[in-house]
Amino acid sequence: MNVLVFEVAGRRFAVPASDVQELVRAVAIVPLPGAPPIVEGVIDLRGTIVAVLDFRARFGLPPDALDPAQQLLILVDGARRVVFRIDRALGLESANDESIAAAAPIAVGSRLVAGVVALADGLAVIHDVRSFLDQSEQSSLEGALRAAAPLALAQAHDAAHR
Amino acid sequence: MSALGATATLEERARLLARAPKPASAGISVEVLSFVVARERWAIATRWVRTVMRLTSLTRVPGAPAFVAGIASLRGEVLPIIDLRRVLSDTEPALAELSRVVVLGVERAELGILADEVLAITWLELDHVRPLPVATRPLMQRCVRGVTESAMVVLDGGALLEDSTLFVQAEVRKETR
Repeated sequence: MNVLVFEVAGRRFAVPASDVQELVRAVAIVPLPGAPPIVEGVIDLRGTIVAVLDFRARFGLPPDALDPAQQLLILVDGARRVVFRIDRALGLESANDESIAAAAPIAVGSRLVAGVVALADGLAVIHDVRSFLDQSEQSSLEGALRAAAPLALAQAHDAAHR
Repeated sequence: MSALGATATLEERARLLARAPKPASAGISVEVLSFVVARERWAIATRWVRTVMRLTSLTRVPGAPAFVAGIASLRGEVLPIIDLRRVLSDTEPALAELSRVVVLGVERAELGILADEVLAITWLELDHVRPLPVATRPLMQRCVRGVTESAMVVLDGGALLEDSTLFVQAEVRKETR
């Protein structure tokens, strides 16, 4: 399995490379009214409204302000896309099954963690994007997106669709 | 980077990321900036557009062609500012409503167009641009490529910048410096 390793608040995390759609430089994030607190806001990704999830809050890391040096990691979550704001991507690593330890023994945030990968220079926690939001957060996010999307899309495609 | 600069950078990137991808089609597409003047939507190819700015002052130029609203100083460059409303009709429009200037130019800022509102950057298929009806003013004929299906008037940036009546303005511009 290939994983994308990235850094947030000085810690290393990883996501399966197959979940990664793209990596872009940080852009302005617009608050989404009615979204659960775990949603930082939304961005307009070429006409699609995509939620930016608060990675730091979920993992109990100290909050920080959006910075142009940061990056947005756009991930595939079923039919939808979600975004993590990360400090920086470190690179793709290939991890074989032996180097991935099961998450079970890890107490903190174990629901979020699919495993731990041993890299040449240390460990990185593999994150499972599908478990980032719980059921109620998921449905309240979907509601907020449904309410906001027509507005935001109308703005984005103004000239083309009017 | 200052906090203000960072915000501007992040917002500019957000704007770029929001751009719809170029549609796949057999025809030729151009990227255009669309804006509103006199409740009409206009478009101009982004290759001619240098920036969009807020108009802070405008100096009238006696003897200038009617469609030239005046001259304005934008970042140290003195530019002729044209008012498309005067291209459409002879009536004297109020200036207060027009707050923005679409600045055109190739190597440097050369010409400004007053705009009520700037809409978006989109792709336009040239196949969908139709010629203007014949009965329009000479300047419209020279500087307009055509009209889209959604009734957006597509300006010809090259023709605007080369228009001889605006070269006259360039002379005026030098004298006023």
